[in-house]
Amino acid sequence: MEVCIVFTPDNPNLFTLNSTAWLVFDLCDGRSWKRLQKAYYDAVEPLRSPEEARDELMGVVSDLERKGIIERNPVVRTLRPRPGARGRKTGVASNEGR
Amino acid sequence: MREDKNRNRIKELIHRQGMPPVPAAPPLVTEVRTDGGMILRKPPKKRRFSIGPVLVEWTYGVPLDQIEAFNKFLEKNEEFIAACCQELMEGVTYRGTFLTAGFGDVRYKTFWSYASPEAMGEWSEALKKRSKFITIMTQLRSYWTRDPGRSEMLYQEAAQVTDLAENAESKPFLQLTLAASKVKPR
Amino acid sequence: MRSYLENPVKITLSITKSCNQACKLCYCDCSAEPSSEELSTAELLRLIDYLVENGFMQVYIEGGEPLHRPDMMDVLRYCGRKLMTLLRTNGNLIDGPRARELKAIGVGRVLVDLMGARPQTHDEHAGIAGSFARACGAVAALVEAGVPTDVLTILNRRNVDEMQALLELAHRIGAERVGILRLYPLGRAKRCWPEVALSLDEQMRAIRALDPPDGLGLMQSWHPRDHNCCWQSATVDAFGNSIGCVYLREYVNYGNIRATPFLDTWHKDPLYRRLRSGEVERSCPDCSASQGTDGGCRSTAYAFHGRWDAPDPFCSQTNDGVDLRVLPERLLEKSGKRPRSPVA
Repeated sequence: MEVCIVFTPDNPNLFTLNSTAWLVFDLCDGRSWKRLQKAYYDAVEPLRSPEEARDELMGVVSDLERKGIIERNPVVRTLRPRPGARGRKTGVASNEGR
Repeated sequence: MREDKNRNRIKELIHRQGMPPVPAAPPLVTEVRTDGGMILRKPPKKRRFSIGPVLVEWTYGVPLDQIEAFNKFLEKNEEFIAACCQELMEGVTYRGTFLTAGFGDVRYKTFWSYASPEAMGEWSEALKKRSKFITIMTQLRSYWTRDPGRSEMLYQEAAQVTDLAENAESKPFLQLTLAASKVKPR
Repeated sequence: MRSYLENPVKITLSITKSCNQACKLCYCDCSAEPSSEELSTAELLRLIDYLVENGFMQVYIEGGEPLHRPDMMDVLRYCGRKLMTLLRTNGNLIDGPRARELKAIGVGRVLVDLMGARPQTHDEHAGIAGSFARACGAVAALVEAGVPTDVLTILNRRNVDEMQALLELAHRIGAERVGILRLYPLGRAKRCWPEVALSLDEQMRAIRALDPPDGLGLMQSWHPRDHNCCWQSATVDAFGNSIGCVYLREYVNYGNIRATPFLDTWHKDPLYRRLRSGEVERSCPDCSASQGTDGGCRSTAYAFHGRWDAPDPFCSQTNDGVDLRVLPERLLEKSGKRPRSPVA
């Protein structure tokens, strides 16, 4: 199983992003909130309703913003990684049973 | 294109997990108590839908005149067998005994699941002690031994073996088999 | 239960064998002057570039005393915004301005060694008067500057009665956590082992008696928290040797980064792969369940049993009657360490 580890140099810290948080981080590539919402819902439906996906997305975007992982541009209303923040995938697996 | 590939990989990861987890980004903490160890989350041991990474199946027949007695034996003792497995051994679960009837032949299947191949070794300690559990296990097994057509099969979750070569590292005959599969017929 | 990393996430740089103190228990057997064979500034900066290019996210810098290297602030400045940077120090070279500088260049956390709650205990260990006051001052300065700061100590016979007082002191001066480390039979500690080593019972009593003040984190690795962290461990010593973990320094050498890229040592050295696989003879079920790893510390298992897959005698469940106050003869003889790889 893979997780994404993100480093935020402005307030030095490391965070582990689970798969859905990782997708949101990846999708914050300068797109608008509306496009982000659609892309996230497309990835999690039908196991989330549109409303659930939207609420979840609002929660994680706020969380990632607070942690300095992404930033909003209020003028053009887009989301992108905060400058300097970088992530990498990390394979962490259990080979129990092998 | 590289972005798409990475994104597809993340989407595939979400898909493989089944139910998408609630998005979370907790801090990754390093504790310094021997070498600095990161507290990285481990994946769940058991896949949610699975009854076990390893299954053992006993298949055996019971003569028609003994079926009622055997079924009563099971009714009386299965809960006890299951409880003993849970209490006396780690990672061993009794999964029940089932009968199947067809073409005049009644056959039984008894299933055991193991949390890992190593858990199969738990029987050695449990079987050393004289106890009611051993007596009942011996009786259950005796129905299996009396059928000359009996069989015992071991099943392993196929999804755990995605790299045959790595799986064969400690299994010489499997290594031989993999090598043999590459030999072209003359 | 075994877990593995495809590629390492973090690395320890045991960056110098020099120090401004003369600690009685020094594992490195440090000297006052750095050796000319230590990695140069250019080599360290190249190593940092290599780490960033290869996906490392964190570097933990210790020594010796890292700040005793004249180029240390330049190195920290170079890596501070590229990697999560942790610095372990005796604190004697950190005052207010330096603490603010460490904050400005992006050091993520500093860990300061305090070997006792009393000046006499700490200074006696450090071999210089005034060390305790300067170390406490460093913690306070770092906290004032906004640098997350922890205190580390090594549990031994000379400070065992001061552990609770040390927790309270650390909390008072603003440390977020205290790490109580076990004593390892390495360097000078090995040579004075009978005077400083505690029995396992004495250690467990000391750990169990601790009552950390509210808000102070406690890091320790006794039962049921005995962690086999080899699976994630990567370390390069002051001379460029890949050694897995600082506590394996006298037992292993997976290759020198001057001749072999670090990741080649990670992927190709058979012993390194073996230790990371987590295969052990036996494991304490409670430690396995809480830590997600088997067998506990490989360094102490190897030190006391001479086998890499032996159980860790520092866990009360797998101690097997080993008296931790007595070192095996073989450990006191010339180290059986593999020769260092030739440097190009």
